Amino acid sequence: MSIRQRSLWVGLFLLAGSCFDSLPGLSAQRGHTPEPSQVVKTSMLLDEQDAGQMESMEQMDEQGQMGMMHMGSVEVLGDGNVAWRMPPMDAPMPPLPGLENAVPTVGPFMVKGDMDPTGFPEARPGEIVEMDDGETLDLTASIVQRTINGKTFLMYGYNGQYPGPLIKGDRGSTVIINFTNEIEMPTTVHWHGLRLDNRFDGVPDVTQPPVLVGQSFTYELYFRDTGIYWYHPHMREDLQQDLGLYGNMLVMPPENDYYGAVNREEVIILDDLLMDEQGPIPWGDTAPSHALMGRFGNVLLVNGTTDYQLEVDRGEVVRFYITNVANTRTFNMVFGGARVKVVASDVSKFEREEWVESVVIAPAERYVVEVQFDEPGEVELTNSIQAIDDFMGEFYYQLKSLGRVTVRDTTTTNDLSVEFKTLRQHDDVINDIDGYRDAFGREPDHQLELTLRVQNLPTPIMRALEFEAGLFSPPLEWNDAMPMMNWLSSTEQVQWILRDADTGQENMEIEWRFTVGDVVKIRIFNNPETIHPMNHPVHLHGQRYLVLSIDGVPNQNLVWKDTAIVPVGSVVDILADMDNPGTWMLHCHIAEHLDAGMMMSFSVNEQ
Amino acid sequence: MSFLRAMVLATVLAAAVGISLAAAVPSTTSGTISSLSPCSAIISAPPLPSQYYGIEMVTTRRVPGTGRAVGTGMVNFARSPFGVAVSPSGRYVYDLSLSIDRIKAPRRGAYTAWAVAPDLQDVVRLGVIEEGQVASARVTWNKFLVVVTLESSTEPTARWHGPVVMRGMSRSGMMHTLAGHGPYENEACLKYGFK
Ligand SMILES: [Cu+2]
Repeated sequence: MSIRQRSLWVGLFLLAGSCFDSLPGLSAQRGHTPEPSQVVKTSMLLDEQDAGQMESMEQMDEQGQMGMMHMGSVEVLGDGNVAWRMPPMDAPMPPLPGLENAVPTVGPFMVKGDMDPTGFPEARPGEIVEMDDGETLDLTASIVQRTINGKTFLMYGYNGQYPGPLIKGDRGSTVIINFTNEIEMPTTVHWHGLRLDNRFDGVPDVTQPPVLVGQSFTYELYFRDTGIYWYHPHMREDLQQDLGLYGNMLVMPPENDYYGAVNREEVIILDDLLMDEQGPIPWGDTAPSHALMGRFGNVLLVNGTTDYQLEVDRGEVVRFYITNVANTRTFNMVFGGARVKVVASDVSKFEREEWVESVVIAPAERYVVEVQFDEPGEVELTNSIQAIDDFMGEFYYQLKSLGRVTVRDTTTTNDLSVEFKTLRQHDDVINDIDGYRDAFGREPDHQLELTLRVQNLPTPIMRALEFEAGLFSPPLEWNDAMPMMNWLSSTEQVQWILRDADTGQENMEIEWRFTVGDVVKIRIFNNPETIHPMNHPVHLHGQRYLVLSIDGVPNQNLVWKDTAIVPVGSVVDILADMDNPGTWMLHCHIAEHLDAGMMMSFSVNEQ
Repeated sequence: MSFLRAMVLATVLAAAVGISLAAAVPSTTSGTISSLSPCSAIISAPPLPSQYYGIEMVTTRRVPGTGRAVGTGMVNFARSPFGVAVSPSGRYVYDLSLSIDRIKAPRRGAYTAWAVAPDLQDVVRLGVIEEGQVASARVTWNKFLVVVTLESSTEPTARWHGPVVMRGMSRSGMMHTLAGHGPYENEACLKYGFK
């Protein structure tokens, strides 16, 4: 099944919830459900064909405003009052001429049609679940009530928590997850970064059928590598993940000295949510909005809240396990003036620890850092970026708070300063990587070009994109510099592309075949000469890879990754260790780009 | 940054590379871009390191022997465990390297390369540069100019005094307001502090 078909399928379920509530005998009608492109609440493409479509849409809306329907065993209520609102802008700019009242071509979606949240269980902060080898955890995705920025509304949660439970297990152990879907649409769970059995990778129609509403699926998680991992849906991530479906797995090492000594460990999930004074801006129903740059949120969240706080004694060393689960935002996280040491990333430690001044973390990446707080007082954790005001054509400094660490006057009784000041070399990592160094210098086995194709975008958007394409595109988009254009672009109009430079095949047409044990060099080129280039965090399922070089500059401190940034205009060489059999995905981890097609699969066959 | 300052900056940057910003902008004249088929939005390129952020150096012809001079500045992210090097204030940290060609050795003094912030206050010395050589330094500005000047002193602590021989601008210097352009062609630039 193609990505388009999959989008359609999810779309149909959403559609059933939002538009067809009152149609009699709905189950019989599903086969006649219109294509997603027809589900336009208000069209911004005012040619004849679209005007005709609009008429039928309005009829659907009227019908959709009444009553309720049953989907599987879950009763779905909708008040039909979900309407698009222009997202707020960091830097105000005039609306695009001719598009003053435009809305995305897809319809607006809110959980349960944005019904009154009272009566739904209030979500609880995430719990830590320590699991022994062979133990089982029941995990349910369901609808929860959340209050963020003073607004109470419906979101999703795993086991009613934000974030989902932190699953803690020992390296080498296997745990069982009995997953049940109690949200309004099909979903799956992907266990990001785990080199587990392919059957449990959670990719719909590749490794398993989608888990339909009310149904269950049992996953077995094998914790092969020490580190911090995370789980999230692999269907409509732009919506399901953004609504709160994410959690961490922390795989503990058997060695006592695997990491340096610390006073405390903290698990931090970075996220953002797009809200205005009425609450969250709706998501696209049949397909994502924000297809160009992904949906940037304006409210920054740490572990699902806006008020992350930590209290430590003076001099404490804290190990932070950081995961970025945002749809598209890359963070530049600063720990006030505290000293920061980077220790590990996605699937391993670095060859050598390093001092850093901030942590640059793209969607789906993880970094493990150790921070010493040796000055009493408040330390503000911030996202510190050079944003772009697209209309004015300027950079501007944007500093947003992520949370606060209160450092008490009392000095810690367990002073780890000496150890903290030592940068450790990780011989276990170096020795492991030694087995791959012979392959570093070879010619690439495969080459991918990252690009995009757009169609039917409104003329003013095309004109703006064309104007800018010849000028300057930044290596990374740190903010939504063009909020209206981005919002109005759906994945029906934008196709993001991985192109095999050798065959010309694109996305799911690509068929790479490997054998277990293959070491594969892949050169990824992010073409800057397109109508809208953008950075892409490229994720490889089920395997691990090294980033060998960026723009020909060799990486001097290697670390095993599963996701890494490919900046605009850059050539990134990676070396993948293909030792886990199965059919796996390689894709961009910007949720909207993934839905817009930027994915391919490859197979690793047993010898 | 004030609108006025932005305007001054744009002008300085444009003057520095001797081009008009308007000329660098692809013309999208009429209201339609029907010629843009879905596929024409894709430009295939070979997977080689991109020159996209490269800085083209242009001779000022002010010094004898420099009339045919050419040069290129290249930026690479400084080494970083995160792949992309960014300062705590979010600025890209680049290793800038400059090479020049088709330039005759000066009769007196030495050609010296500099990177300069748009306010022309902050200056980083890349060092003495000759034909076929590379001078490099680390820069952390959003936008910057690169200049080669003719200097009498080759001391590493020397300041920029001499005439500008070549100049170039970071790609980011081409960022430009949408006011008065593209879909906003009827939006008066003046309203936003631009002329
Ligand atoms: Cu992407």
